Amino acid sequence: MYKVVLEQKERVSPNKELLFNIIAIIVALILSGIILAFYGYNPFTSFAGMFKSTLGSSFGFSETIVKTIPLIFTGLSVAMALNSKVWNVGAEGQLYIGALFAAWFAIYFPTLPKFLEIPMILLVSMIGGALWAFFPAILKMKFKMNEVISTLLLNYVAISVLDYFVYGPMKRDDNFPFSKDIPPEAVFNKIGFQNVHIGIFFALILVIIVYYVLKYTKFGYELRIIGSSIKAANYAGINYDKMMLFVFLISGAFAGLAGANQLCGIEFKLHSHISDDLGYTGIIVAWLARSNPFIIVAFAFFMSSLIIGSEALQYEGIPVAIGKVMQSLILFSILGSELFKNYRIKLKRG
Amino acid sequence: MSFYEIIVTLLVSAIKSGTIMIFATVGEIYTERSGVLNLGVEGMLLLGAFSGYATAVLTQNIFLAFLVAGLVGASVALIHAFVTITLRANQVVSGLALTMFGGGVSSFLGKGFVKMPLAESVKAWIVPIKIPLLGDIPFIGEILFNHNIFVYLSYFVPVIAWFILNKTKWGLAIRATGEEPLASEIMGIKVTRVRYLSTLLGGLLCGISGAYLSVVYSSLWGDGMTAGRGWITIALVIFSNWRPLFVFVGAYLFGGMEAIIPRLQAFGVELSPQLLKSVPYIFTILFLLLIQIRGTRSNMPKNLGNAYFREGRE
Amino acid sequence: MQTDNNLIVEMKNITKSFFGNKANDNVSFSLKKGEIHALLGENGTGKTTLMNILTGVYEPDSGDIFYKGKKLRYSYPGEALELGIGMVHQRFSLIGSLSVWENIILGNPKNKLYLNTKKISQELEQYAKEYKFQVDLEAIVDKLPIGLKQKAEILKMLVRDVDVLIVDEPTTVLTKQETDNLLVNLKKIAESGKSVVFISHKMKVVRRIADRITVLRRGKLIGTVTPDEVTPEELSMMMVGKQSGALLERKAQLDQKKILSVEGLHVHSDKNLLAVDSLSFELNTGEILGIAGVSGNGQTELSEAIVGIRELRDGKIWFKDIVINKLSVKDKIAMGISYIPSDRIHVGVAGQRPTWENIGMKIYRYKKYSNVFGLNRKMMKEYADEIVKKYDIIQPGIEFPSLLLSGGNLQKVIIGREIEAESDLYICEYPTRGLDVGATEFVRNTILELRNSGKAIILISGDLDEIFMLADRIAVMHSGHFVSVFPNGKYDVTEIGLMMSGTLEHELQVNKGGKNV
Repeated sequence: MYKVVLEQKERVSPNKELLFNIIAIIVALILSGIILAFYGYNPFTSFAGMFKSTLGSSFGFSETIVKTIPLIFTGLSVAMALNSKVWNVGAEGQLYIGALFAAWFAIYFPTLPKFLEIPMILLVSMIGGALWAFFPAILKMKFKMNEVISTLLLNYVAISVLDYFVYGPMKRDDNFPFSKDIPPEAVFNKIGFQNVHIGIFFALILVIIVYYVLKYTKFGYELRIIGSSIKAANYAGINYDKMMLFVFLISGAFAGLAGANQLCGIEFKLHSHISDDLGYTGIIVAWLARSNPFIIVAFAFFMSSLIIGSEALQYEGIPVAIGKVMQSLILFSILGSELFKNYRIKLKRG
Repeated sequence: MSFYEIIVTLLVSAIKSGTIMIFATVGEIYTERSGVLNLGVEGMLLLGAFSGYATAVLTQNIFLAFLVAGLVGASVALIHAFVTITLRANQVVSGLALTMFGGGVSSFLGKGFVKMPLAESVKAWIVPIKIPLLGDIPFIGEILFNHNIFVYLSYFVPVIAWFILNKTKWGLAIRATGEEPLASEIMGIKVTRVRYLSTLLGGLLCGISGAYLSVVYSSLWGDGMTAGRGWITIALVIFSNWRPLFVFVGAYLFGGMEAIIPRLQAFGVELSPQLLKSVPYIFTILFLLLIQIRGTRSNMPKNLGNAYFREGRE
Repeated sequence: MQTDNNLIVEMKNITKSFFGNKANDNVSFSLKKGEIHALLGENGTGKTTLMNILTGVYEPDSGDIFYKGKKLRYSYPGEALELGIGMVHQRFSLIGSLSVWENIILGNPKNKLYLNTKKISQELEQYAKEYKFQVDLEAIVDKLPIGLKQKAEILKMLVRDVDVLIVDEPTTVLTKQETDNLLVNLKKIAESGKSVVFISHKMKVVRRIADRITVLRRGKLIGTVTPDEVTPEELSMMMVGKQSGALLERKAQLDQKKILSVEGLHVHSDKNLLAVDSLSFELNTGEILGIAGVSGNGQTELSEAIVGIRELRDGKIWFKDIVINKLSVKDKIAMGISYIPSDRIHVGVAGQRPTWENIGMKIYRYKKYSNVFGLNRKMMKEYADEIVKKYDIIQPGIEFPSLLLSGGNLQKVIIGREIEAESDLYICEYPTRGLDVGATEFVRNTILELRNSGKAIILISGDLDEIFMLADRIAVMHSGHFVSVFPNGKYDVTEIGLMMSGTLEHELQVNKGGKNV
């Protein structure tokens, strides 16, 4: 008789971890294939279709990049909060409010020249996102309310606030639930590759800034201590409450930027479906990347191709929800692989 | 309608919609009391709602619908149990994944059922049945004892849970496991088994809640029809301070809110319907705030959300 | 292969490692029917691990266990109790939010599905009477004082009718009088035919109660003896291996100044109960104030309040003649308050972070190491290298997480860091707990050195010997306040023991007077 015995070990090296993650993703894709096959779709042609519609064509590739941009922002948003042991599940709502603020500024304020208008819009969207993050942050700080629940509930509130504006005060004249188009000065320029816009630069600049701040500043150092032990941080004179509040606001601001990107880069008007789960996908991106900003870019691209690919499957009659199923399977599969990263598994005679 | 009638109708529909939350909240209490935090309630509700509705449409048997929904709920809870208890993965992430999984799968499979109606033979089970004698009590009888059978069933769920948790050795084992898994295991409790069963029971009840929502309450299936009720369920667990009997209070308060909002216009309150939709969520947050401010001793299990590894050494 | 029928437990060549450190290295141990067998050794020598293996909490890497002549193989940890092996853990395996009776019956296979409270209480009362362990069965465990918790815990095992009762460091949480009581009870239990394993690092207690003594040192078996076979000196040699080195001399202090004074301090615990209750004292430079007391009497809350981690409810603290009540931890660090906490791995360092980050935790704010734009990682690493060299810290490399360090080296990281921060007040909480002899000696000498160089020190310790060795003045702490503060040498162990259980100083005098007459 043999039995399985677990032994705790040091976490594996980043390289090995990456390998485990890739294996886990492959396992998840195989599982998705089985589900597809089970419901009568050919998994191979489906995956081939997904590939063709993303990496396989220049247009698909550009669309994938376009979708990567907001995911970098929401991924950074969630990752930032995770650094101080906060689960910001509210990037979705913060994105909506960021977009709302941006649209409101772009449409109702005197239009500025482009080189001023765009930075102002970015700033305003950050304020909007941060404002929406402020509520759960203060509730956590003052009343120890669990932020997973508060941020999630506020997502629903954010959607109805946005709905209120596009059905009410901001509704355009033709009675569709859309806002007016934003002025051309507020539109992000294209960079010359299909629909890819300058938002990609904003996202990459932010990645570099976040990387630098986390690794090379006092603030980043303090965050690392907090990430390991809040008690040790308090002991070292780092005010956890203040840091948490600040980080929560930054996290909200990043999600707000994603809203401005959706508005000014792709949609050009405000409506109820400006996000479609970008905030939730950001959680996966941040979790998979272990909050490392550069790896966030890679996983944002990966998740984006998954979303674009599954959207393309619609034309073959496969419900678009398969994308969501695949995302959750990837998460489960990576979660499962944690076991191999943290424990040594031994067979033992017993 | 007289004022009395309005109040009665309101309270009757408060109970009807509060019932959606009762099964799931009690289920989540079992799960959390054993130390497992399952944030995937939303996903389990959606899968329960879909599978229950699909079964009702296909078999025209409402009880089979509830059974299937319960089993589906339990089997997705099994994924969470396996990932977090056996594989010891992060419970928050797994719960979020479960939410996403439930949303995805129910939408993926549910597309064909969106406009399919329920058979009349199924609907016949949903009509209110007045309970003799009890139903004749003025006011109370009208509100509590003039419902469909599933509402009556829901009256027992928190009471049974209270009895199991506080008066039986199973309940003692569940509570002990959520507080101190190592100490419980030394005393001969099989922590893994207790946590698995509690999580499955939680999933079962969530599935039943879902079936109630789609088959009984709305009598239709729609993509994402739970609209955040799963998260409100988790908030209600905190609101009830992990005590099953208090689930009645939280669920009916929430049900009352859902009942009153569509009627506000009838009362002459002019508010944007879009904003009104957000009222339950805001109120849930305010409820939670109230609980925190009041600062009663929390019954939150000490090891809620922590993976248990016996040989882990500090 | 059992020849001696009198043996109930036999453990052969047990080895168990954690993270590559051998907690038990080829240890053998046997237990006779009706005997009290002491497991003696310093903290962290693997005594508890060995018994955790016997009870199935851990699985040995190699080695065999025989129980009642049969080879033991556990398939789940609760099995030990079913077979009749029960262990009273140091931190207790009671569940705080449950009542005493719920704890006692938890997991008992005799339980009916429906728990009839009345019937169960009656049965339990019977047991309590039989063994003279009176505990309020309805009480919630969290609200019981520690002595009663222990009673409840032992009662829990007796109700299960164990043949082997293991008690892990039972006396550390008890006053001298409670200890005497416990020993009498354990003797009774052994006389009734049960076997008792008594884990302790206290030689004197062990010599009083044990029939046989097994000594462990650094995870290795040193030997098994009877108390009469060896002198106390020989026994302590077995425990520590070498005679402990001489302590530094204490210099006479000239021109001492008052540096800290505390007045009417009230602090709450995590559970929001009053933990420090109108406490006042003063401290001078070049002085060590030893705070003696059973742990859990407000010591941690007191130090956390002074350091600023915990909020004050009432009272005032002056440091260098400034009221520091409202100052942040950061400000207090800058003013020169250092804290060496008892929880090293969670409070003292951020365990998952590399050692250089942990060593830099107090100095990173200096201009030399950081400014608004960045942190000078190179300088901080150089600094960490210096500390590692200066304090002779054995570690795999400063880039590795600190949790890989052994207890002694981790404490050196913390102490080195705090000393180099050049504070004026050091609060040392259980500074040698769990350390081996060499590290203990290092820590004690460092504390004396600090004192001699004019720093003020608060030394919180559960070890009276340590306090006698180091302190200039001794304060005895009981339920949130100082029972008495007096110069070292005024009272002996027994008297301080009495004060630790709350006896006031003047009552002590009366008792003494009585004895003289």
